[in-house]
Amino acid sequence: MANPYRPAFSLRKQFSRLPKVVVYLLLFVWALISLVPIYWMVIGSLKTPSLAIAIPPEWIPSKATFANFRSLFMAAKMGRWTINSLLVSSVVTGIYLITSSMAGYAFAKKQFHGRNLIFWLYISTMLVPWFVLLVTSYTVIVDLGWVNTYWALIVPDLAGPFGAFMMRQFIQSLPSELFDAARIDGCSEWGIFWRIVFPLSAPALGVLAVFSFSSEWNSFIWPLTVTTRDKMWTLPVGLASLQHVKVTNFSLLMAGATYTALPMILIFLFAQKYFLKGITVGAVKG
Amino acid sequence: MLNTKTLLQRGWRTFSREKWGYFFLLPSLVPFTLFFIIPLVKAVVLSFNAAPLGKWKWGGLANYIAVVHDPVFWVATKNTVIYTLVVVFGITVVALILSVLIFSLGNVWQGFFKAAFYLPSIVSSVVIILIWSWLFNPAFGLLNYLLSLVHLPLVVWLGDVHTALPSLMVMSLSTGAGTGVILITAAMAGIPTDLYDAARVDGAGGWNLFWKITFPLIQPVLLYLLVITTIDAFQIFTPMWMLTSGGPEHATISVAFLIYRTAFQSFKFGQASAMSVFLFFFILIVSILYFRMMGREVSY
Repeated sequence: MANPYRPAFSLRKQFSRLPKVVVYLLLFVWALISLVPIYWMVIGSLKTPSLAIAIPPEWIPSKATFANFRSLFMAAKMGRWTINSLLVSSVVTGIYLITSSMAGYAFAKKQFHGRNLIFWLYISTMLVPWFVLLVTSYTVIVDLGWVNTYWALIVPDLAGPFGAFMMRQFIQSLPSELFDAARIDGCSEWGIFWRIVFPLSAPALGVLAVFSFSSEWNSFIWPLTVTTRDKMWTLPVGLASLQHVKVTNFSLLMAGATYTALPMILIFLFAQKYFLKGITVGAVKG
Repeated sequence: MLNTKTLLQRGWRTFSREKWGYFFLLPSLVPFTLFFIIPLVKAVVLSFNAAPLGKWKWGGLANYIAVVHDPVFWVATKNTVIYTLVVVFGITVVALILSVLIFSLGNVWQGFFKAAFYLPSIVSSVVIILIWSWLFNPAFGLLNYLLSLVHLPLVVWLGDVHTALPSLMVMSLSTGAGTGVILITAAMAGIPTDLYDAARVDGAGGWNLFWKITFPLIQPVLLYLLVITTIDAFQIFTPMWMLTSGGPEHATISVAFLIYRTAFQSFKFGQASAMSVFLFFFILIVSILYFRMMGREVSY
């Protein structure tokens, strides 16, 4: 019931003691710390190499050029790395969505012995630092003869506990009667999954797709470890190699960095909701 | 009495009733076996191997003893622990402050700041590190230019034993706080407002409300944030690979970087595996400490 003598209290008001100016100032300072490096990268990629290292630096470049991008594509196998990155990220994401919803469906709706035990064991593996497994995962790749192949870049990431966990949470909320009805109508078990569970999971799959695609696109240490030939590199590995070869051509490096970052920034701007949802899965109720 | 036949029959019946559950797990099992279970077992096995990769000779604790007697390993451990403590603590505190500040704003500004803080974490670490390699550059970098504007002495950020590791901490902190803000504000939004109303009626003020209500209720999320940032920070590798090679004078060498170098440059896979086992236990101990400290159930 509303109290006429006291305005309705909200959490927002709890922290409104500080003067508004101070709040905005502090937030803007941190926003600058976050954004200036990204801004510096983008304008650096548009400056000529000599303008990029001029002191004092130009905050708004007096002339912009795309020449760095052209020389980047001539100096390095950017086209090939782009194709590799696109191929690996898309294939992994496509299959990851299917394996995750299959596992999520089994954990959410199927009855079988050891279900909960398997689920919790599987989920707890997320706490194992993956660097611990890096060296011996590499030896598995060697044993399989997969060094410098797409298999090495793709297969290890085709399924994972995070996806299974997320899809289980979502599929649990789907009504079981739906599946029973389909079963009575003669739908096969696979058909129930493929024609009912999978399409109905679209909202969760969107979040998972953004998560999976971006982590594959940005992935560095694994592709660095399992590829030695430059035509098998992905964009981040190729980009890191430019830094060792080119001597302080910062505008060229920034062109490469901008080119690699741009798809992620675009996805983020257009699918921000999915990104943010992906972080809170498993951490926050609801 | 049950005979084998009926037992088998019963087992078969259970299995055929439940087979679809296992069937749907099957595709997840392949990558999990190949790239989790086998590498995990292999890491333990290899850590006892005294022969080069591909051959086998029982070496007992030889690899572990070699690691423990290697002074560089302890320098790497010290660096990693210091880096982790500073970055994790820094990220948590900054994220907490930013979240509280953000929460007093309207939806539009809240959305803007969240996006701004989170943007650096969506691009590859390689991209961030390249940008900072320029910002840190002693001659052409923005940081030294800003110092020169206020007439401060210039710093050789990554080339100086004293500033190299702190520089990397600053870089990680500047990009890492966004995730924390997203998590904490999401948790704060989930706290029922009538809890605050009740406390207000009881005469609690803003500061009290934060420590008595907000903080305890977001503790599970803080625990989650601490665990994921710690696991992340403990495996710090890419900045060393790209910028410092662990130098100058081992000032930035980390456990992960040392593992990588031991395996792929010195080809001592046994020792690298022994270090990996150490790394696993370091992180396990820290995680257990966190859960002991704050892992109470919270309900509201």
